[in-house]
Amino acid sequence: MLHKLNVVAHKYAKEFIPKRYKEIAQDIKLVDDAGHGYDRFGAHKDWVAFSIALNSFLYEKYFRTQSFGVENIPLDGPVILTPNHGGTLPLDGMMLHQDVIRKTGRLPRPIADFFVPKMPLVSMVYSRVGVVSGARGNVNHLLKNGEALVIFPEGLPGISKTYKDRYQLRHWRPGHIELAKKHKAAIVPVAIVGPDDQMPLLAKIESFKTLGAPYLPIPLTPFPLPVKYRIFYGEPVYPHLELGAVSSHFDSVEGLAKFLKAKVQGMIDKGLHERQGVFK
Amino acid sequence: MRNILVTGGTTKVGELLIQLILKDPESKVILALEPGDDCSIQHRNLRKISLDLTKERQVKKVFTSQDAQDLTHIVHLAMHRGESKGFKHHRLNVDSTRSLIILAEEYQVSHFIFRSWAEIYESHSFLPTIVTESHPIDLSSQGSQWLKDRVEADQILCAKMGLSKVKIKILRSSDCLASGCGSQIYSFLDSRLCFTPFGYDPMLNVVSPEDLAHSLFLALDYPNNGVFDIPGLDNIPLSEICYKAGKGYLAIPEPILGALSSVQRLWGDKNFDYKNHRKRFKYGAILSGERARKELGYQPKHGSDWNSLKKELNPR
Repeated sequence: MLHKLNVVAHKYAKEFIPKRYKEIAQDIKLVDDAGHGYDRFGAHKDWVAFSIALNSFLYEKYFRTQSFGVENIPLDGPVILTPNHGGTLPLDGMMLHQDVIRKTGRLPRPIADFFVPKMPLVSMVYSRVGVVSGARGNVNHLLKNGEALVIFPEGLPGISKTYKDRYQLRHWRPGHIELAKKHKAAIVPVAIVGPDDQMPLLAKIESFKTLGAPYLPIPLTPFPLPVKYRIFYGEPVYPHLELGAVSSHFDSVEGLAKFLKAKVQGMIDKGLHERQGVFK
Repeated sequence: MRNILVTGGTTKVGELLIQLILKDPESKVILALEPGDDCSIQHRNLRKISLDLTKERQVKKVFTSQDAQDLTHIVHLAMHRGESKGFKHHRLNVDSTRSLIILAEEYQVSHFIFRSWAEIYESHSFLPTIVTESHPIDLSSQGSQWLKDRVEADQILCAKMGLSKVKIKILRSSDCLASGCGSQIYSFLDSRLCFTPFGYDPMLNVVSPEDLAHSLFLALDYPNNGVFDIPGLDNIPLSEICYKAGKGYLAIPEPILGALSSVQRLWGDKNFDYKNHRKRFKYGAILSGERARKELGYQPKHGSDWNSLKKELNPR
């Protein structure tokens, strides 16, 4: 069955996907392709093209995604994008994934929590479009290869925020800063305005852990609302230059994490202040 | 000049390795054949002896024989490839490894090369997909004897490293999709019906017999001890492996796969046990091979021969 799905996806990618999406995906560079089209983590260009085509309705029409400051993303070399996370379903990650591919031609590798690879189908589809499980070894490997990563420093507590806590950032984990320093990677702070309004979370049942899911969300709406997405890319920060330099304001990784969190919170607040409404 | 004792040399990997060694006219090979086995290679520097590795006395006799007086290397490839349980298999898989390394120390053999298995590595959602030599080993009690024997043999040699005068080199290789090479994925493909866990399609790495033989050859003269991961050129999902091998497969919800696998074993497909691959068939694992590249100069060059594999697995 999976193979059929695979074959259908390939066929769809090759024959029915609009040329412009195929061209975007074909320009992406995959490392470690041994002639089968897959990289070591399972990403495949045809699947990326398939995901671009499939999500184009959500990206262009439903969420009417707009982005600002995309020039802040380096076009090559290791980079970590660190956005806020919210919205019950990880649609913010999907829209960011779309936006980065379309605007820069780079395949961003979203780093997923450990429960994601446990989920049947989700784990397979995610890995084909570039998602990687969040083990430190994987992140190290990707940065070493000069790839673009998307790490949600809030993690699961971010996406599982209830509606009353929307756009209030959770603890900003600093692990990615250490890795960025080690690999001389840039960190681009990203603020996404919109997702926290798309599917207001009322409560969650923590004891429900079926099929690898960490909890059962109880949202106000059964499907995401057509809110407007705005993605703001901040100026890149280079931890290997910031940490340890004489003129640096940051004496520790935690200090830099606090700074980046405040920067993202500031960008979110600005975005919220400037927007005309949730749907506009 | 090398004088090399090779065990398990009747497999495709073993034969390729022997051919590589014998290209050097100064090298001699003593090929230990299990009773009933034969090897097609003929060469003036190749001597074939019949040896039951499970009988320690017979093994010791080899070391005291005239041919083995100046033994410089041991390449230990012999492992029971079947999934069947039993004391005899344990003796071949584990005890023979132990006795060979002890004899190598006693008779001052310089190098001991052991072909180990990537399956011994733990696989889980919280562990890296890219596996290095320091990756956790699967020490759980859930694995079958096939797995436990391989972990034990590997660890016996790891425990000797650095304390013994013998230079021990352990090559943990990816699955080698050729008959007789002990690959569980090959046994999986050789089953009448291939069942995979529904909703998962892990990335796996397979190594060609040529590359594996070449890595063993490179390890012969490596001057230090070491554990090396030996990946192949092909990084490929399980579903594509089935497809390229011409095997149909059925995706079954994971909780009932173990039971189905047991039924299959009763039915006659005895060489594959899903128990050993419960996590690997969900999360996958790919060997990094960076150390082998840096230290041994190993770089995979040959992809698997999928057409031959297809013909081999589907003779009709």
